[in-house]
Amino acid sequence: MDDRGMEHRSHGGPEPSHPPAGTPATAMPGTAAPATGIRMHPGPDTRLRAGTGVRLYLEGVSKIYGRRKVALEDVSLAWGPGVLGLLGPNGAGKSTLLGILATLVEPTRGQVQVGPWTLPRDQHAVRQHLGYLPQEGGWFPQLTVYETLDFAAIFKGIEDRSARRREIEERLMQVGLQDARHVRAGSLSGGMRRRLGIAMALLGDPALILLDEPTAGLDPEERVRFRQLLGGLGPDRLILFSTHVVEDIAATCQEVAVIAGGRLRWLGPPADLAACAAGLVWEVEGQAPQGAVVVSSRREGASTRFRVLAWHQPPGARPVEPTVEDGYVALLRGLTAGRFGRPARSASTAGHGGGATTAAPSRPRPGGEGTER
Amino acid sequence: MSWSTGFRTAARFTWIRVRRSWWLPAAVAGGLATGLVTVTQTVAGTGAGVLQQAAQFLSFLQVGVMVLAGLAADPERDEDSAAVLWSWPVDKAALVLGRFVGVAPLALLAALGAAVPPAVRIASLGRAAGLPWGLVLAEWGFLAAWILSGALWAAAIGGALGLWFRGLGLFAAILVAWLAGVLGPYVFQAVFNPFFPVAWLWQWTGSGMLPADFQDADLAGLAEDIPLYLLHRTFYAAAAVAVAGLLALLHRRRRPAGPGPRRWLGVATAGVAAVALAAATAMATQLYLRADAARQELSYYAQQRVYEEGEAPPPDPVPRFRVSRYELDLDVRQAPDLKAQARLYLENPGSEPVRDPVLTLRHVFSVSGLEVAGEGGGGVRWRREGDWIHLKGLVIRPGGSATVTLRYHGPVDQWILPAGYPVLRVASTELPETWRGAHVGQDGLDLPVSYGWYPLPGRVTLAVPIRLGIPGMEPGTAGLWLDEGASVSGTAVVRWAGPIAPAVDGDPGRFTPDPTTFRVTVRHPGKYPVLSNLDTLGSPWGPVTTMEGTTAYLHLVGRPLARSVTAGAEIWYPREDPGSLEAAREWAAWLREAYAWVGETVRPRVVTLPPRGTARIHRLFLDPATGAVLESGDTIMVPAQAIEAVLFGAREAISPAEQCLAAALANLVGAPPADAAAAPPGLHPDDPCASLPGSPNPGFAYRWARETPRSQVAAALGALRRLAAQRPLEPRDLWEVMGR
Repeated sequence: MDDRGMEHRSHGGPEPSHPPAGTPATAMPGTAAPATGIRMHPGPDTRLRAGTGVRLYLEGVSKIYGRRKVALEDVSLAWGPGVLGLLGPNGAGKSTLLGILATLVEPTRGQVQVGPWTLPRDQHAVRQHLGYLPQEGGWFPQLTVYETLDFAAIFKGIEDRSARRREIEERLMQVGLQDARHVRAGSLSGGMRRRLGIAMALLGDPALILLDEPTAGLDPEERVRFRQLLGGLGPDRLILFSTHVVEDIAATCQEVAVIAGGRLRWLGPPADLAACAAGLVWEVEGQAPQGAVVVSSRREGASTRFRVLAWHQPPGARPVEPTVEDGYVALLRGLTAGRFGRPARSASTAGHGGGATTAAPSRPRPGGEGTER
Repeated sequence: MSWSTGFRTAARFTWIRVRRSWWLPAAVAGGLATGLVTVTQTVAGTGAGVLQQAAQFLSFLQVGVMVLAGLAADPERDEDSAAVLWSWPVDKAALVLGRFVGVAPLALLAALGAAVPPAVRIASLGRAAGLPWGLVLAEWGFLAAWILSGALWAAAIGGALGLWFRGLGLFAAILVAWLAGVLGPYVFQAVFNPFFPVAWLWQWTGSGMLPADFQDADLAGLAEDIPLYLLHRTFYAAAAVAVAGLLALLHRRRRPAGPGPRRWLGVATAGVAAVALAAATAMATQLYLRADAARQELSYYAQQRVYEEGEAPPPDPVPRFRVSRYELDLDVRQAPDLKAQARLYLENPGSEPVRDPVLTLRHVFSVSGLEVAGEGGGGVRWRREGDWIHLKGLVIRPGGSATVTLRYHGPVDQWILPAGYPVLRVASTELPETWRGAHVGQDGLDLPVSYGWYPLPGRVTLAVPIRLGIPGMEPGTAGLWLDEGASVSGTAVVRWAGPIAPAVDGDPGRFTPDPTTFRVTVRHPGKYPVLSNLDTLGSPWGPVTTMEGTTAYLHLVGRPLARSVTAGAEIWYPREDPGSLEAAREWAAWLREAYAWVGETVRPRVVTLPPRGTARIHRLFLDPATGAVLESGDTIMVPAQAIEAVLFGAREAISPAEQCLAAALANLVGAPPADAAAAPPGLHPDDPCASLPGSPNPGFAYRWARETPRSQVAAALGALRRLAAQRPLEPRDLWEVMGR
């Protein structure tokens, strides 16, 4: 096993702990409370230490719906602050993980800690610092864009009218909906609704932002704008977003977590994920070689070029540099076995050591659940 | 964010969404449709009737409100939209309750739509009957209480279901809830035969707004009793809040994340549940006690003798003595107790001595003293046997007399089972319908002679238990029914205090009671006038009311009534029913006219009681001896009754001559002069005058009545009246006075 993919990516935050008595209460860095007029709730549960970012800590988290449907299984993870992308096929468990962090789903087993708060016990405190965009919906067809944001801002605790107006205007500008403020949400296009949802999630300048497939339905220009928006939110926030678009991950995330079958398969920087496929990526013209995994294809004139993954160079193929997508596909198809990864390490043993990003990945197996080569 | 801010914002947020959706016009349209169906399908002639009709259609409104509220509770039917709501840092109770409040205008608008048409109808009927606006407003208040509370309850149920279910599941849940409410009690009743409050509990969702909860058991009872009605509404309102609170609790527990429900929510829910339980218990206890009191009374008589269906009880014996004078001193200040001292002057008009005479006094009264004065009174012993008091050892010689003084007391709070009662008590726990009987209360009294509240001469059977098959039930299933109430003539004149009048020559219709002189003193709280059918009435508002007069039987009534005195009549009527004053004036005019036709002058007293809260036995009494009419406000009197009652008293027009006379005089009273003087119509072969022996021609009696000078007719009818008091009239009696 190779440890490269599991190198820690510490962002300097301390391990989750409740602040000691007498610690001065400050707003979460980046919330810019004075500027926006956001009133942060007093009380021990809402305090964060100055200069610290939100850190996420999962230990053996599982979620089983009913008796058999395992949505998440034994996920351990320590991360933050920063932007963490969640990659995985449909039904992998990404939305369930986000739901748990959004206080909407209670894990069947395991511990969840967000900053100094333990879930589900401290859900109200977490919600005060939470911006959440669900996978679908999150908008109300009868309300205009402005009303939607206005109500959401009130519910998020921004009670001062002028502060709320400033905040809403800022969010509208960020997502490019200034001209649609009086349009009812039911009349918006799918992409505009998505942007409205993003604006709602960003209201109150939350320290914990959970975005479930935020770029779905966005046109390329808006996608770029979203990436810039995410990049401009500051380093002390904890941002998790799930997506199918690998480019989004590469452009915005410090690290990426790959979830499949309810398990955390991989955690590391996007470049490392790409490196997982080093030496496995080939480009071939004409027909896709038998036994190779086709990552993509494109037509060039009369012929078609295939980008494939294979352990051995197919006839007529030439090696190419791996991308994140190559690494993701290679990981899911079990082609990285024996080439990258490192032994699983408990989040509790690694995470408490010094703020390292740690995970306990499963060993990739051929065919997605493979064995070593 | 404060709780109130969250609540207000949620309410505003929900309301904006609701008012921009199609649910709002749907609610108004649905409500209006219900209201229009109500008024177009009603045959009611009174405001109260419209209320009852409205109640029958409100279940449809309720299901509509449930659907609308269910949809509005989470209009997007989108789990993730709801997820955004729940991920906000707002108190969940504030969010849920705020959303309920935001949806509530839907229910209110639907209710308003349903209420407006019946309200207009009620007002038009009420105003046409002369009802003042204040009482129309009161009727509207009742309507609003029914419709609004029911609609809000439906909104709560529908909204709660909307939080839990979506799509077809929501509709299925609402349908199940509604059907459970509408049909559930009947199915439940068929299977388990439950104690009636259980059925009520189940019926909330289907017809929580209806006053007639189950088998109309409480419709009459509740309507007559405002405290009970308020308890009933409290019961539903508290139950609605309790169920909503319970759903909120369950919802919070069901939530996959977060702490459990707040303590106050549980405490508040338990509190309102306790209020609902207390109200239901108090109401059920009250109604059940009434029913049980009626059952006990029935059982009391049934233990003595039960008559089978079709078996004729023997007529009561004709008393061999008469009471020439009553002196009654009554005290009803300690309701429901009646304390009385009665002095009776017994006379023997016959030729044989009367031995061991019997008096009748309802068994509920305890006799604390009985003294007999007069010949042979010293050795008299008395014994109770049910409703009868045997005066052992008393002998009244022919033409002799005796004076009996009784002191007695007892509660007068009678409830009647008009539909009988199952024989097997254990087989049924449902609440039978109850009617108000004789009673002495703080706000009124009803003491019809049929209750036996003062000592009556002779053996009067006050109630006869009869075993009757129950239609629709399997053979062998029978119920007990109590035949009680005075025996009255077709003209509403009391012939006998009990239901089985003595027979004369085998015909009970021939029996005529003897007139008696009454002198009565009533001590009462002074909150209502005490009235009777006696001529003279002193200080009716009390606190000591005196009355005197001569008649056969005495009825006492007391109720807060308005008084209208003219030279021609004394009328007591419910102030809230001015139409009854008009009717009473008309009746008084008929009576005056009827007496004028026999050469007498009277000043009738018409007492109209409110139809609710009064005893329901014999709702019309006409006393030809005094010209008094006691009626309960929903009875009908026709002019012919007046003239017949004046002519024949308590007796029916039994002989052909009497029937011919009654027919010939029927149109004399209450008809316009032109009609009264019109030529007689061609006689139908069945007309009693058509074949009367000795008649010069079939229409002779008719023509005589119309063409003879009025003074002559009055003199002739006066003579016939005196004769009829002695014996049934013969044809020759007619021809004699008619000058044939």
